[in-house]
Amino acid sequence: MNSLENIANQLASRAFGDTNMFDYPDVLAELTLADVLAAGQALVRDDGVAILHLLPETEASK
Amino acid sequence: MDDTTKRYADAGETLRRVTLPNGLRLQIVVKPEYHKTYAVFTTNFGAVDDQVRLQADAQPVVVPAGTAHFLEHKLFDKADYDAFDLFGASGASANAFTSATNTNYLFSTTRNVMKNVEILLDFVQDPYFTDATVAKEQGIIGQEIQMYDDDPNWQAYTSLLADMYPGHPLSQDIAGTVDSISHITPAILRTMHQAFYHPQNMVLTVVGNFDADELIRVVSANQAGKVTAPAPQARITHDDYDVSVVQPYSVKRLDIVRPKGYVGIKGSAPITADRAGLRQELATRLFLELIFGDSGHTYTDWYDQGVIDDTFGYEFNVGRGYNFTVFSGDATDPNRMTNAIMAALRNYRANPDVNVDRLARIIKASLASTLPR
Repeated sequence: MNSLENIANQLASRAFGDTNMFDYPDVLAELTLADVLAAGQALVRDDGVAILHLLPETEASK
Repeated sequence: MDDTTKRYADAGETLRRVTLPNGLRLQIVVKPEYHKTYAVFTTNFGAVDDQVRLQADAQPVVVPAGTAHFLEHKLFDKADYDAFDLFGASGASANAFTSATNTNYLFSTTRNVMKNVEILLDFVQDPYFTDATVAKEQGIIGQEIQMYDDDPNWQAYTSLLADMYPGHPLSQDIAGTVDSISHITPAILRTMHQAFYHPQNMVLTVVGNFDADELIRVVSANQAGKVTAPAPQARITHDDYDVSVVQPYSVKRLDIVRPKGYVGIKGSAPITADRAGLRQELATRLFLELIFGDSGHTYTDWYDQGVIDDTFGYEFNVGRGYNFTVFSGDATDPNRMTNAIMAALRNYRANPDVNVDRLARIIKASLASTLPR
């Protein structure tokens, strides 16, 4: 993506929050492996998971 | 008029923010080294916003699925012209898109920036809806929806969202259904336009080669001519972090050759719109990249073993009232693929890719792709 277009769209997508894409370098510089693993820990759960398998039609399912 | 400029040293960028007396906000980034200018006019209104309370103690107005997207299409269409043609005549190309929480109208141009900004503001803020044009659009969007319905990836994605968010607007396609849009009327479009296209609920972002002071003068003059009543809207947001309603497993049969596997993980807690929220969002993205990025062992091993192919990918989405992760890809054995994803998530602590050096490389690459210089 063209960088101007990228900047415009990213700024627009966060226009209603308190941060924007120009905060990324600062925030990324602060993040440690421990922060990243804590975020992973919050993500990894057995509840709230939906698994979907999409299979070809069989003669019976058509 | 509120007017502030902030220099972001680490990003090497300067952002000027202006709030006009009617509440419209501007985000301005001047880039004199470029030829082009991009402008995006955004309303904080998208597909999940299917209810609005027009007065404090009134019953909510509930609108059909697909209303925000329908409104986006209809705004281009005026009594005797099409907004696309106005941009074309002024040397700009225009586009628009509706997401779950926003609707965006944009143009890019190398000339006549101010003229095109006026066209953008005017066509979005000055709606024209009649029974005949709404009926015509129902046909056009109906065909668009049938095209989506024929796309197995789209169908699967929508169905995975429905498994995670049953009964929530996210479970519906952004465009709605042929049936839901058949209930859209000019009155519904006018109501939602008045409620959510109020200047207080909108932001104009302009990035590129132009004079910022001139832009502010032109937008101020344009907005001063528009009398706006106080914003009538009280948004009703359907926050959904309830993991107990998630459908854990489903199978769909479609007219495809190669099977596909999907894993969705519904966020169980809000991610705030402040800096702490941004930290959490970016930390989550880095976690996913550490484990599942195509530069890591997991991806390479799975690829070599035929568990996944190069269609494998993941995304992390954060919106007003929800957040979720989706893994997807084609697979000879989708059960093997989704089991491998779940095992990699459970055993992340033992993954050799989880280390400080790899994290540093990923952060560097991520900066290079989001802020190219």
